[in-house]
Amino acid sequence: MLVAGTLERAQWPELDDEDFAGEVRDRLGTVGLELVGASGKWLARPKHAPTDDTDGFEPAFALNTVELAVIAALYLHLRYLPRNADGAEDGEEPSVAVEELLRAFPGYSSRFISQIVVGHLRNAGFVRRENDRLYAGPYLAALNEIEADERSQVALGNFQLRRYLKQRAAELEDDHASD
Amino acid sequence: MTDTDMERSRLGSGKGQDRPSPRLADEREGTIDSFEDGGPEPVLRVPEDLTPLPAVDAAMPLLEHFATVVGRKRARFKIALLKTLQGDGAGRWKIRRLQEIVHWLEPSSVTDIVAELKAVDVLSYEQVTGFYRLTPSARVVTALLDAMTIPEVHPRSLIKFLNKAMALAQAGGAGDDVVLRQFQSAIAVLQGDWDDLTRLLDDHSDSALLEAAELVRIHVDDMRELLDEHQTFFAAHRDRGDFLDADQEALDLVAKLGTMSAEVIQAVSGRADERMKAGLRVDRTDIRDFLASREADDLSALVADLAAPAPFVVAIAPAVAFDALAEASERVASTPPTMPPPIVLTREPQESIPDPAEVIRDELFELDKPTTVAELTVREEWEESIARHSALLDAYSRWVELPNLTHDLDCEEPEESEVWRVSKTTIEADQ
Repeated sequence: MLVAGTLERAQWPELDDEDFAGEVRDRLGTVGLELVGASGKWLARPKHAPTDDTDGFEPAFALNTVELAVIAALYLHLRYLPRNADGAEDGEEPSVAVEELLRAFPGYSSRFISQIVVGHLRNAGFVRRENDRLYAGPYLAALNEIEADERSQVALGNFQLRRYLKQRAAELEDDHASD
Repeated sequence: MTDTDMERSRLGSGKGQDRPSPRLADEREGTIDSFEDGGPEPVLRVPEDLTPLPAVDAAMPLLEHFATVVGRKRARFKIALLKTLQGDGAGRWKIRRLQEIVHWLEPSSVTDIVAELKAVDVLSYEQVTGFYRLTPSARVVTALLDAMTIPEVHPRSLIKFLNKAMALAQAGGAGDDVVLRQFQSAIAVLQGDWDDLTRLLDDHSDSALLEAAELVRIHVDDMRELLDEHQTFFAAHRDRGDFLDADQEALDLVAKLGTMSAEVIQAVSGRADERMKAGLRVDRTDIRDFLASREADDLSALVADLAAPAPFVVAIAPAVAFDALAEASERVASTPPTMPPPIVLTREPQESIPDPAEVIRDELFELDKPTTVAELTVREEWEESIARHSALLDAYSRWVELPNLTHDLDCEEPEESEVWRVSKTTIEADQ
């Protein structure tokens, strides 16, 4: 079942049993998969995904650049921000409006992002859509948070630093231009 | 007579402004030597007294000392010998003493190089006593060459160099305008620093930004030192607007670059500590601005190799599939435009172009008195002249019954033509 879909955690208490889960892990491990519990689900994911340049390998399902970029945007909104923003943890499940996501991709048509890309990611288990809001799917919740948070922190830190310095440079220019 | 005998006129045609600049000519010719030997004389666009040339002319006797030492053969030996002499306490030397001081060179070579330096007035020789001395100009040149004996001028030292050049200009009495120009050059360095620093803020390299900020800090300190050292000089020129403007510009740049470089250094190098202490706090606006500022490629790198796809083939949502079908079915295949109706082309006889050699041959036969090649071929335009000249050469190589030619050692200089000179050759036409 885990190689064909996901399991509701609440309906599979057996997987919380260490011995049972260990046996499942071993069996998944023999075909290069690992067991992950995330966002109320149990799921299997590749331990080491083969890369596109592996000889003779053609992935049946691969994420393209735009899909990865949308996953990154969703991760920042739905996983990173709730953990790092002041007072963001208010108990509700984090969500983001589709409009907010579209704002991050002004170069693409809203139809392409909101229907084609998000629809694809919804099927792949990265996002759930309810009305016009998006929620983290089990595969987004299963991202390696330590690594993803570290990358996000570096990127956001650089962005904030440069935004601050550019603002200071503009202020200094204005100050001296008005003298 | 060859093509190279003909040279473009340098004056009078009014087309000199289209002539390539000396630098371009240099690049085209390939070497500086060829430019110096045969390049065109630069053409002024304003009267000479409105250029720096008169001041340069006045200083040429001193400046030529550099050329005589550096720009000739065996320059490295001459510079090294002068550096050695400068370090010797004595002010005059006999040849034997010179050979001792310059112990690293064969005595006969010392004699040769000393003779060469004497011939260009870098060393003076007292006939009666047999002593050699460094002339006053040569002492200055040697001191400067000694100071400049470094592999390269590091950008770090740029303003320091300009500062010392200003001091040197004042000591030598080079004039206020010279000092101002050097000061403006130092200001230009700071302005370049500001441009570089603000440009690097858009770059993603912390190390490049930090390196630039460190350089800026050094330049700012050096500019402060420059302003302090020349304070009296600037104070004495308070009545001149250009000095005041430059002074104000320098102070502005020092203030804003000093602040900016300090903030960059503190922010870039202090960030790691800050993170460890308090962590990075972000809000929705930060995320929104960050996402808006990044391309899809940059964003995808955040989760590349972390976002593993499911091991199973995902089902396509019916709604998405129908949307894609609707979009695809609305597409209209492009069709090429219709071809124009066929037309019958009319045949036209080929245009007859007279053979230039035949034309010039006919002109030769029509000559009724001795005529020079210049008179026959040269016209106002260079292109037409050279074409007629080539046709003449072609005619003489093809037909034997043409009038005899008499060569002369003189040259002709046709008037009102872009051709400057033609070696004199007379066509002996029957009278």
